[in-house]
Amino acid sequence: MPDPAIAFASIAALGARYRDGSLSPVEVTGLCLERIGAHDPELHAFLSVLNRTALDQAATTEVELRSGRDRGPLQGVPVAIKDLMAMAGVPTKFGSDPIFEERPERDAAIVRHLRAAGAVIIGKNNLLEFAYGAVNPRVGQTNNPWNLERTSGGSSGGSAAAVAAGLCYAAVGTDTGGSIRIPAAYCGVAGLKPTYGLVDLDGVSLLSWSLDHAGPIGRSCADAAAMLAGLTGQPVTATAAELAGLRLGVIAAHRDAPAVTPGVRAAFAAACQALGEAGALLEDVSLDGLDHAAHALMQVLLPEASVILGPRLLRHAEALAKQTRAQLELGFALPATAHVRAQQFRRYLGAEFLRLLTSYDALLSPSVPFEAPIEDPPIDEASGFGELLCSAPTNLCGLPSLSVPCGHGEGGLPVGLQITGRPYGDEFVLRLGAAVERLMPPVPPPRFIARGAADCRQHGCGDPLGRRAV
Amino acid sequence: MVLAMCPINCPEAQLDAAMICRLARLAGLELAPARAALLLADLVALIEADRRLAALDLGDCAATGDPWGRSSAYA
Repeated sequence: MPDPAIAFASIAALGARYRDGSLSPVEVTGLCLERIGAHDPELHAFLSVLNRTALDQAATTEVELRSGRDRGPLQGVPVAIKDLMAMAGVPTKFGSDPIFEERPERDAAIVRHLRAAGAVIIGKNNLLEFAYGAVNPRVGQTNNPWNLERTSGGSSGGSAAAVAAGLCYAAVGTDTGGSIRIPAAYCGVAGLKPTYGLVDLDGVSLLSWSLDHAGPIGRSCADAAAMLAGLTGQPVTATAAELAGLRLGVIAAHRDAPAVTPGVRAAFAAACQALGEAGALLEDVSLDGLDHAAHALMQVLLPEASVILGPRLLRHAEALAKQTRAQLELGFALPATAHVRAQQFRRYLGAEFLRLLTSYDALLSPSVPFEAPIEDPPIDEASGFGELLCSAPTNLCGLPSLSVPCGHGEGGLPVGLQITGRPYGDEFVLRLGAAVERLMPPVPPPRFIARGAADCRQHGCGDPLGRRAV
Repeated sequence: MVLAMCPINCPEAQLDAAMICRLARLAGLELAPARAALLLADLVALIEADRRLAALDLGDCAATGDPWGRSSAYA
């Protein structure tokens, strides 16, 4: 078995070791499976672990690498997918009651792309029920590797927790109102909601045609970029952007929102200060209509989700989580004009974002106003939509939006910085995220697996995430 | 012709569990009144939010197309 610290290596470092023959995909896949066995009972990040098929895939990629067939950076790299993506012959559980389980006959486009890139799909991650904001009590939440008594967020919480805990090297999540970026922020990893339509959703269980996105979660922006390249078949790299002369707009309404805790505000301010000291020009910006975004998102989402998931509600309402059921029922009662007006509004808000993005290279905000709570808060009026405050607008507008770690809050848990860019500016957003990573202190492995970090330092690996310290 | 405000645009005066049941039934879902009552506060909030969007007077702003609103620049 390889050095446990290799569980936290970067994808590039892993690939280099595969190609110089000092490490093999079978060994590394075995390490990940062993770590899942050791840590997942506490985390609950996986709903299916594909022991045999993962080792078979790893063996195949090992033969390919030895024979000189190089499929690129993901070849032989253990990754995971959110358990609402179809994988032929493997159950899709949707984070819901077993009565809804399906066994698809064909792979989702995402799985086909990952297979073509040579990635080893090691398992399917836990999620909030149908990615719709609530934990089904028969499934249970994914616990946060930084504090097992907190949630890892949602809905792609299993994906973010698995990556953060070194159970796999990257994962694919989906994001309808923040479901990649929220858990990425809570778990201290990088998560990108790409430009709308960039990643093919064929074979992904949908929640909203208008708002759904699939995208990568990695321990660094470089790892997320490698995954995005695999998912799209297009070259994507995340060399750190040159900051001098960049114009960055700070969304003041998000930074100053009452829901933002002092610790998040301080971490965000420190990241902005570091960007400024590195030569970027930061200015406060405002967007007309931004305060309508969370409600508008619900006006789009509720009826679409009710049309998509309605048949399940009609057949087995009692098997759904209380909140899921109520949201699906609510979608049946909302007038169509509310949906259409929200569709108008999202394009109005999108034009507002584009107006700013003609003057600024990217826009910054906290990813989430607070650190990981004990449970995922409901997405409703009473909660103030606080968790979605910063992420929802870019689901409406389809813009690429990344959460990258920027320190810790008052509770000692990770805080995310959100970077939003122009349509199809996904690579630039990742490159800017990589620049933030260079400015911030490296994120160590989560505390609950601190032994891995100690092993790493003991073996002279330096930063266990492979990031350059400044 | 003068268009009168639809009752559902006056939620505080008109919207109740019975109306939620009728709206859901028209959309294909039979809801028990007790369940409809649980939805009342959230539906009122959404309809009030919709009124605020209506007040923006977005006119003929498109409801389809690229979500960022200007398709030609990023085609």
